[in-house]
Amino acid sequence: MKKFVIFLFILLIPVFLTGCWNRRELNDILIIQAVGIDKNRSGEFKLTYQVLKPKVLKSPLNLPSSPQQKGVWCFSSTGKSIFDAIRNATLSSDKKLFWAHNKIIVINEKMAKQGIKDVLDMLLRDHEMRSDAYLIVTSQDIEKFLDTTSPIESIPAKELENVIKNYFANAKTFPVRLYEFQKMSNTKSKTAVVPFVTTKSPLKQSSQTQMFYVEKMAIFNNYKLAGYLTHQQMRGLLWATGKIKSGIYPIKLREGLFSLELIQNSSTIDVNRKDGKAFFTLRIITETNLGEKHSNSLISSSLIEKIKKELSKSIKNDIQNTLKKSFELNCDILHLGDIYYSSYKKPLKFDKNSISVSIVVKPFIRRFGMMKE
Amino acid sequence: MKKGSASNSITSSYEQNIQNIRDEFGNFSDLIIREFKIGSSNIRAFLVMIDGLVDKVVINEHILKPLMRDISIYKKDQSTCEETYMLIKENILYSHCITEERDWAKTVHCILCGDVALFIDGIDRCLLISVRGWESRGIEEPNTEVVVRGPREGFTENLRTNTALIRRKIRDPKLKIESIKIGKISKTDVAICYIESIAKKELVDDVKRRLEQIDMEYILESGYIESFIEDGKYSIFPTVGNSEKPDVVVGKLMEGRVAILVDGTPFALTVPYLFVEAFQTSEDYYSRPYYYSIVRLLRYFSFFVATTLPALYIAVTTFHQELLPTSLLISIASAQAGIPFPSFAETLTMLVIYEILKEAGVRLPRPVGQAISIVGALVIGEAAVSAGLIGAPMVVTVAFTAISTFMIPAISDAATIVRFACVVMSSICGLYGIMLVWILMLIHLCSLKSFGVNYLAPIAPMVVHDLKDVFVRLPWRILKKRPIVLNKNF
Repeated sequence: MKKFVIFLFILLIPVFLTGCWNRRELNDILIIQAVGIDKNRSGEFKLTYQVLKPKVLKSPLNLPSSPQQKGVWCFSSTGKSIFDAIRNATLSSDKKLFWAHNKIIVINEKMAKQGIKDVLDMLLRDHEMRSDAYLIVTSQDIEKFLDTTSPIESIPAKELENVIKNYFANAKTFPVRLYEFQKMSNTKSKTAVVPFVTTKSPLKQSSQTQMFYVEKMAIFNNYKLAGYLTHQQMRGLLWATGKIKSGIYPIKLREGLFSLELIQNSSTIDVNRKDGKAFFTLRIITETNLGEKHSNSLISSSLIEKIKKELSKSIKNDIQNTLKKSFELNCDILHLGDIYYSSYKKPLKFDKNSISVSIVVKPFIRRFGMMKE
Repeated sequence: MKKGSASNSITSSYEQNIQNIRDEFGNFSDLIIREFKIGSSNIRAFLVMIDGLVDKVVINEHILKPLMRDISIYKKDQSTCEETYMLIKENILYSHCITEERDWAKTVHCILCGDVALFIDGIDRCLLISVRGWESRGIEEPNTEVVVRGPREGFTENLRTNTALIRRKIRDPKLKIESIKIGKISKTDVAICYIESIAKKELVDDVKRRLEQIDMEYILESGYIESFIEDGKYSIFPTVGNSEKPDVVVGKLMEGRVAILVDGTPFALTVPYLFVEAFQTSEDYYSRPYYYSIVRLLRYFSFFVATTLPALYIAVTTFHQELLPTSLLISIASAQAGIPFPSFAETLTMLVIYEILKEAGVRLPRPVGQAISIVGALVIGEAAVSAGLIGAPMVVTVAFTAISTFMIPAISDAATIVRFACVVMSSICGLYGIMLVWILMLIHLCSLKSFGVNYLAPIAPMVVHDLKDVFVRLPWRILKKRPIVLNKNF
């Protein structure tokens, strides 16, 4: 008997060894899908939350078009700090916020220009937050931006997430998660890019619904918004960092227009030092398919050579454009400083005159489509 | 003559014997004493039998008829009682099994077992003629272990039939069937079967020793014996196997196990019983191995589901919501929206309702049983969800759990208990609680033994030679060699 009591006691011990004792029913939490961070006029932080409305999502027949049937609702709270603002949310909401499924963090452009290092601190530090939400910059009013009614998804944050994740097909944007942003900003180059998203009507006449549109990429230098990359410049950046997956290159020649689809790409970057100057060599191999042809001329080997040449030219052009922008803003978008540092353990003097980048492109056209002509 | 001495041995007095029988059996309504004269002589004799236990046709045609009529052909008119007795024993009785008995107690016992006792005037012995023949069920397909491919015969309540079914599959004198009587009052016949050259001698001795130690007045089913001989007396896991199918029992005998057959039940016990046997079925071995290897893996998965899934659901929805993919969380959250009970209460309710439905369904007569399934499926499944009392994912979870339990019938009751433990612990401390229950269960399983063999063998301790029949079932050409785990000393 005594043995049994001791046994039971030993059994009870591990129950109390657990650290977290956080039981919350699904009905007692507000699942946040997106959060917007802004500062109001008096300098307080204003957070806007996009929160799930599970009851509405219950019925599969609910169409997301009308605002009443939207799967989410938005509200905001203010506070002296971010954490304060989050807790102040409970002053008006009936349940505590649940952050683990937050997908999007929207940052106001104005605030981004002042720097977001301290803004992100709480999101990275607190244990309830997850650092895998996507960062987004917008110039629109955050409340309006988050309260969009999207035409397809009943949860706008989900649609936004999918839109920015589409980069693999267009090679014009790049989704950045919070921890990736932190990682990029913590390098020698201190730069990171974040998608700049606005909303637009699907069609000119259409009324209520709004679609998201990734307009450009915001460049952050040392946590401060420094400028923007156009789609073309972003493509150059993707080439340089080897993150390009697929995209379309329309090639214009005297013979007509040819659209090439990128299938497989690889890029490597090397650095050499000579007389205090850094010589970077970017080698790109790209395999493409011919997907579209607006031309009367037959596909001949000379034409193919021409297309290839033009393709290399436009790829080089993209990268040069990015470089130009980089020097213009004086921030190392291509993270050349990191590459230099890892080879020579010395910071790179980021200066147009001390850096030269040569680009070698090796293009292949693998298939010419299902038509002969 | 005193009654005490009368019950010791049979007397040569005809009247005394009848009186002794009457004294012994008292006012038996099913006792038959048939008095007659042998042949045309004046030698008196009588038969004693229990009505219902004996084959009447055999008695009339092959015992009474020769004794009363055919005997005249052989018998000299003036022969003595002793000569007549010998004649009857050697020439007259058409019976395959006749024993001579002097002891009174044994005679009474044999009469109660269904033998016919023949008493002849002037002879201090009786002849026990085996004419056992009572109404019994024929060999049918067992309900508990249904197979698509494989033998359909199952054990019956008759011990002799059962031993014959085993004997028919192993035609080797090494197959030993030893008999023992258990139960002080019921004196139930119990047979111990083993193959001499395969089963370890210590194992057989151990089984016999344990059976002899059983101190019980009556044995109605092999479950009585199981609870007396099993190792883990307080364990929820069975350490003695049972089967209704001769082919399964023979398979186990061939692996070196010992089978215990009990008169009056179609369930034979096999020892030692290992944890992995719960995941094996006879059909695994009769069909081609590839598909059934997958099925066997599924059974292990089902064990996990049957024990842990509802607990996992509670843990994930109330403690670790961040573990779920967002879209899954949304659909669960939307289904749970407005449910008035906490997940734990909901789960427990559903599990209890399921157990009630199951138990009610098993006991009910078949036509009424249908009503139960309609009530279960429609009212609990549909109405409770649409009324907003219980979330649909909960119903799915419990249904899946219930079905998984049927994948492992041998340890389904143990799985149910573990399931409730998991549910309670996960509602207290989430995944951590489930982990604690599993650790506890594994420690317990590792410490269990069945007749000297580790319960978790050949997984823990690992016996690589036997693993070919644990998680998958390899083809017979690889499986040919007998498992060594039963003969290994750990």
